[in-house]
Amino acid sequence: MDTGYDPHRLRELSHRTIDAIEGLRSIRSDDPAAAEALRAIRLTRRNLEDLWMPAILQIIRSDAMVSWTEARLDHPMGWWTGGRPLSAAPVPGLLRTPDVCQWTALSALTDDDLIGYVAWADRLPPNAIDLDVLARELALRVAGDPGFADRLIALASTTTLVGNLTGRAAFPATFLAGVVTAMMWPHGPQSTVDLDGYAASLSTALSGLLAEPAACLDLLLDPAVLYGIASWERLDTDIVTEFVLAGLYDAVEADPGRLADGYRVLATLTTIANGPLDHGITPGMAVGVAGSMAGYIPTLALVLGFETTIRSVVTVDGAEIDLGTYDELVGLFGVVLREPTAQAAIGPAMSAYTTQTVTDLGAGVGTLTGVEHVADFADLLVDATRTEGATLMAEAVAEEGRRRRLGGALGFGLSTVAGAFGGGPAVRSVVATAVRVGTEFVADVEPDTMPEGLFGPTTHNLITMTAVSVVVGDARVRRELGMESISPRQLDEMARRLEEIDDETDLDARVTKVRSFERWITAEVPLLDAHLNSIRKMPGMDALKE
Amino acid sequence: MRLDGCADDDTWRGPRPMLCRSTLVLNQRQLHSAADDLRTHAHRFEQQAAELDAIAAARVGLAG
Repeated sequence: MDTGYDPHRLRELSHRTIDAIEGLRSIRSDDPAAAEALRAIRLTRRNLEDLWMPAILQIIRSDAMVSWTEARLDHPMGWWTGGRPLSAAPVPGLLRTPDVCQWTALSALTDDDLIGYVAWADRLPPNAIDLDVLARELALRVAGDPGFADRLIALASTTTLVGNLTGRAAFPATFLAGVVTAMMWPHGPQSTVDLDGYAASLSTALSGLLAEPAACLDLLLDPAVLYGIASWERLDTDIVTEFVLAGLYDAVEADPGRLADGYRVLATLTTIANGPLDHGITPGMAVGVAGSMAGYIPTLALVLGFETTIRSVVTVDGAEIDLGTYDELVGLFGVVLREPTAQAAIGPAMSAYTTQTVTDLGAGVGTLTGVEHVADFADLLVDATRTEGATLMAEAVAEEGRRRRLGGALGFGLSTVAGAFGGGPAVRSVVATAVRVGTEFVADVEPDTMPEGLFGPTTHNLITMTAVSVVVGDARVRRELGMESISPRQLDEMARRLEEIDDETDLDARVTKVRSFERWITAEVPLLDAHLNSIRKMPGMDALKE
Repeated sequence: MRLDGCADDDTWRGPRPMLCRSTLVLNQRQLHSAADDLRTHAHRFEQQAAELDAIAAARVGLAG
């Protein structure tokens, strides 16, 4: 039998067939009298889809009658590979006719052809294919076939298309995690990969996981992924920040049983920060870690050991996690706090912890243990910024305006933080706000340093002012401390001054108001003054004033 | 349905195209038959409607 075809007429036939399929699909009727007609329509459409279109595409893909391909055996990494590893799948002929890449064509492709298509589709001119359609087809097959998902994951590190497509359709979290892991493998110095495009693709895959905090934490537990996120500055900073916050904070907030995993991530990060990345980590990782501290300070502050040889070991649900020596923790927070936005982000977390501790201690704040842990953690931050100080101060000159704004971000936030401390998500929103504020002011000014030692005096004042606010706001505490003689007028005056301090955004003006308030207390409310003096004598408090 | 016109021997020929074409011809006959059935149904309904209208008009005339 005579066999042959006209490529141009065949392509026209494929277009008309697709139109016919769409036309048949659009015919609908609820009338029972039309049932037989609809059955005939369905049969015709299925014939075109299942028999006709695959046959047409098969012929279109074949170039046997119109061209030939040189073997180029002496250059196995020829021009068309772009230096990438050779794909296991053959180059599909379909690529030469991108105009037939409609949904019908994609859904008619075999898995092998579709994988081959993805491997080469990024060589096509822009807009040659409908990426949304391609993404939906891939998402369908990934969801239904783990083997297909694995093959696509294997492609993720050789073409940016896979990562980019994850932002165009709903892929399962396990698949996204696989893509991230595969893409985190570093490319060698000889690589011709477009690094910016690769980073954008990887960032897209990371952003797809933000709604799955547990999956983010799982990925952070992988040292290779953690190192990649902490070191690769081409990744989108905002996405990395949200990714780390989701994994380190949200996942633990949703499931407290994962706190141990969060600490395991911090332990690995401590090792990295004291080794290959002692020069610094990515801004996104720094801000993410700082913002997550609201969930860790209450347990971390209890285990800090200041001796060089003593290791800080936190015990969570029976698991012991070694976070390293005090100096190593100083190293971790040193690289974290090099990032100005991270400094702003850790302030509210510290404020929240301080406020809760002092509030919980109530009348016993001057006698019971608790405050020293606040002081210990503040000391750690002071040491971390001090260690970095020499380098930082050499790099830039502190700017007074920015210093004030940073002070505002750190703030007292007595009313805000105390009111927000009812639950984790509220604290998270305080942190998120601080991160946003920090990001905004960092965008306005050149990177410089945080004034050395700001954490110490701020925390010292925060502790004493919180103690005053507890006395003012809690009649039971006043009774326990024998302060029933404080008059309503004095209480009103103290509340007014606290509010004034709280509202003050200028750091220096706030310190002045605190000093003035303390002098007023000494003169007017000796009982409260004695109470504050007992707090000031608690272990660690003196060091905060240095 | 003008696909058969685009799918003649000038476009492609061979066993597979022949099978596709013959199946399409069968489908087209089914569609035409279904369309004829629908037209017949519609024609019958219109006739019945006209008869009912005529009966109603006659009754109105008698009552008047």
